Amino acid sequence: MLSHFSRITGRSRDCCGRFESSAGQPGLIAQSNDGRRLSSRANRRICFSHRCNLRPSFVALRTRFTVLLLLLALRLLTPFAAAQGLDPAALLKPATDTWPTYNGDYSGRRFSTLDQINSTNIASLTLAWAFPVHIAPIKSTPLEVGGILYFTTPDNVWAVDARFGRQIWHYNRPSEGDHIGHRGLGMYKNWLYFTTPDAHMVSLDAQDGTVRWIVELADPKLGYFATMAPLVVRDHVIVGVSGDVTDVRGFLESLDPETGAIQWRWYTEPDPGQPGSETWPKDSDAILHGGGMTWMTGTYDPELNLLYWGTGNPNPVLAGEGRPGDNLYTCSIVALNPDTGKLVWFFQPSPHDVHDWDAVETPVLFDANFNGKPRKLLAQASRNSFFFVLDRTNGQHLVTAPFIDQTWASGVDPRGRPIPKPDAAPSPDGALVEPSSDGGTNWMAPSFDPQTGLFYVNARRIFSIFYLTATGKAEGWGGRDRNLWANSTLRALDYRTGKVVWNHELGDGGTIAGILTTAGHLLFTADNSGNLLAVDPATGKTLWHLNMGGHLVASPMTYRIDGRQYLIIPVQDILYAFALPEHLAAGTQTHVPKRLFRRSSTSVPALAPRSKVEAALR
Amino acid sequence: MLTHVRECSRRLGKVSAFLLTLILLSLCNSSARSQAPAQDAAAQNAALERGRKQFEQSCGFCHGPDATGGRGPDLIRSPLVAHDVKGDLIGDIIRRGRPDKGMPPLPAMTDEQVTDIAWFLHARAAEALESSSVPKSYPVEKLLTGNPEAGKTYFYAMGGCKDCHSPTGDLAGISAKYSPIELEARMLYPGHRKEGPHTTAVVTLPSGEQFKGPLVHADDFVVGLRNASGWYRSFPRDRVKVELQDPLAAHRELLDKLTQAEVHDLFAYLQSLK
Repeated sequence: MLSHFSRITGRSRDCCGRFESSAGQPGLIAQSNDGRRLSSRANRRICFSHRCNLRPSFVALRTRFTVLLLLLALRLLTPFAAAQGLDPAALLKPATDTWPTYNGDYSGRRFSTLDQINSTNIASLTLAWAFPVHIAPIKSTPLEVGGILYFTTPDNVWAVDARFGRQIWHYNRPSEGDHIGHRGLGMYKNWLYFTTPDAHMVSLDAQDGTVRWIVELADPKLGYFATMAPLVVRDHVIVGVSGDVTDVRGFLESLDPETGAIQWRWYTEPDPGQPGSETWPKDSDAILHGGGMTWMTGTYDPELNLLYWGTGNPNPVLAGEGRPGDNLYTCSIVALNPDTGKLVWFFQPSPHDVHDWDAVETPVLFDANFNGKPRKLLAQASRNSFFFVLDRTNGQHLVTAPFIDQTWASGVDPRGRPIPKPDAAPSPDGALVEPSSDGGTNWMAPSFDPQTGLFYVNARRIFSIFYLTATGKAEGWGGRDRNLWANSTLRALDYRTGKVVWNHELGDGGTIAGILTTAGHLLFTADNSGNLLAVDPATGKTLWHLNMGGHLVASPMTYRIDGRQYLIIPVQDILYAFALPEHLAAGTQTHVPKRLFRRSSTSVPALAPRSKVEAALR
Repeated sequence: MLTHVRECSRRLGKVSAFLLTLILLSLCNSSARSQAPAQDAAAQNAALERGRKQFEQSCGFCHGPDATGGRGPDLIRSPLVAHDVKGDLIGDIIRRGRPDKGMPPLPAMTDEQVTDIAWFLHARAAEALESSSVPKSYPVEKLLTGNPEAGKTYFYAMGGCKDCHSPTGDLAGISAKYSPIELEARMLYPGHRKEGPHTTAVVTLPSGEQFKGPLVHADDFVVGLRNASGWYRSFPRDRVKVELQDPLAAHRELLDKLTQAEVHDLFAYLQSLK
């Protein structure tokens, strides 16, 4: 198996199980001996690496360290009883001081309960360390588990000391395929899950970055690639694929965390004859080449045991003539059973999309009152510039409202879907439309802050002319838009109506900065001029800023170790960790500061007694 | 598709510009070796044309003359074609056929003919990949759907274009300066490309002292400009009064108001300014 894999990938393995590129023969990837492409199931090649032989002294040290950690873990009553790995059961409880999934927790709200860094002391925020990767812009959100940060760029994974910013290991696997960006990792026990530009999934040992196995998710020769951070739900590793330059069929699938074997696969387009297929033309290959990529990480409700995922645009992208109908389940929010991959309900923000407005933006989950009743809600600020709120138990539509100017919809239909104006569709002579294909927002993280009850999104006013260039049967995109002008704004939305509560301009250009809110009454993001911002989530007023000389092209995250809260913000290709100066961090209370005192006092809150465990760790 | 496709395509653009430069440089060189790329390209084009004819003649009846499918499958979307290198996979299929699917064998097809067909199919697949950008040479006929007279009326009346522009002044011969598709974009928003500052900043200090000049940078915290002597000056925004005079504001307002018909009428008018 091993040698066969090495042969077909044209790579050899060093003693640590890392793949080094040799004179690669990419044309041979994923072909069987007779040179024919196999079916995707049959074609999976699995590689199990041998573990490195660790030196005895190191083993002894590690054992002692593990015992110490176990003792500490018992005292802390944390769920991480097994050293520094990640028990998937821990993911069922909201994140507190760690960040174990792409969005921090299953809800996708990107709200941290940490409050050591707060609106009273934000002016004292200082740089703790910086970690430059010098390879590519960091568009991933790091995981923080057991004092280690794990983050990515295409082809690369780093494990970095979350306290001191020192590299623990670096994994590199050169590959063909689109290197557009990478969002991060999934973690299960001691294993990391990493998707690659050539649409493979790599399972790494989190201790040392050695490869456990590699499986192919989809055929890169057909235009598939992968960028997303897998989501671990109990013993399922949920993974999606990317790529819409060619007309291929999108899917989401669940892998066995131990072996990489497929547990289920859900195709964005139903099989011909199945429910939903009536929204595609009959007697045509459109439905089996209909796109709908699963670019981004979804969310999960453990109580309902439902997985929520946004799906991408249909193909051909701008040319809709060959695919009349709503084109389910592209540009949709779908609820799936994570154990079976069966569709439970769906809602489609952009029926029959012809503008590349995928609906992969995070479906954010929160419980809140709606019309006087407590509801389990799901909210998405979608790329088509509309904000949607659904009842996540059944998909019932509750709110549709534009969160930014748009010129393409004339109204909202009874099912809550925007109604496109016919003349906003791409045309040979060009159609002037807002937003552009880049969208009113995009993959950058939104946030929901339960303290303010507001939903936050970085939005763009962005105009473009859409040209339909295809003649005859369209293949691929079949056209493109030209961006004219854009500016950006951070917006706070009332989830009950979608109305804008406050607006904070971010400047000219299309932002791709994500958002983090915290219990410290802070919202972190960046403007289009290279300034990191901390704003008051209640008003949008700037409380802190710093010119970093580069752009935030990812989403901020935070965690606490040894009683000190760290804020991680990648700027271009450098990971920055901010924290309070140590003497201030040591003195801050652990509960939420009173908002009443926020503006009137700039002094540090009184010294609170720290727990003995925290004291011991320091 | 995500935002950064544009970044990537720009990067690809740079790479291809670099390659093109290399090719041009090597063409300037008179050594025999340097003429190889041009010869290769010519040979490839010839193979492509032979392949197109061969395909239309032998395969087009079922697969469509442009290979997008008909009675037989769309070969641009074919996994087998995607994996084929210079005919190494499709040759076998062509010669043996697929009797189970009703595809007749063509055993007499030569290696050269198979390679030519492969050139054609791969070129068609490349066209599909390239369909995610609008070529600079986009034909003007496709854009000229508007009425130039109505465009002229809009220019002088509702659009208010005449307040800043004149067909005999800054717009004289404008259609000769830009490709049609570039002209349409510039007509709607000329500030898209970075062509130097178009905004003027007026900064007033608490003392009443005033600085005026081309804006260099403005965000929530800082404003920077070039003063009358050409020197850069910056000011913290919370301590000064700032006025930004941006002539492109009128264009941005129009973007919200223009109907598709007005866009095309106005373009037809500008395109007539030769």
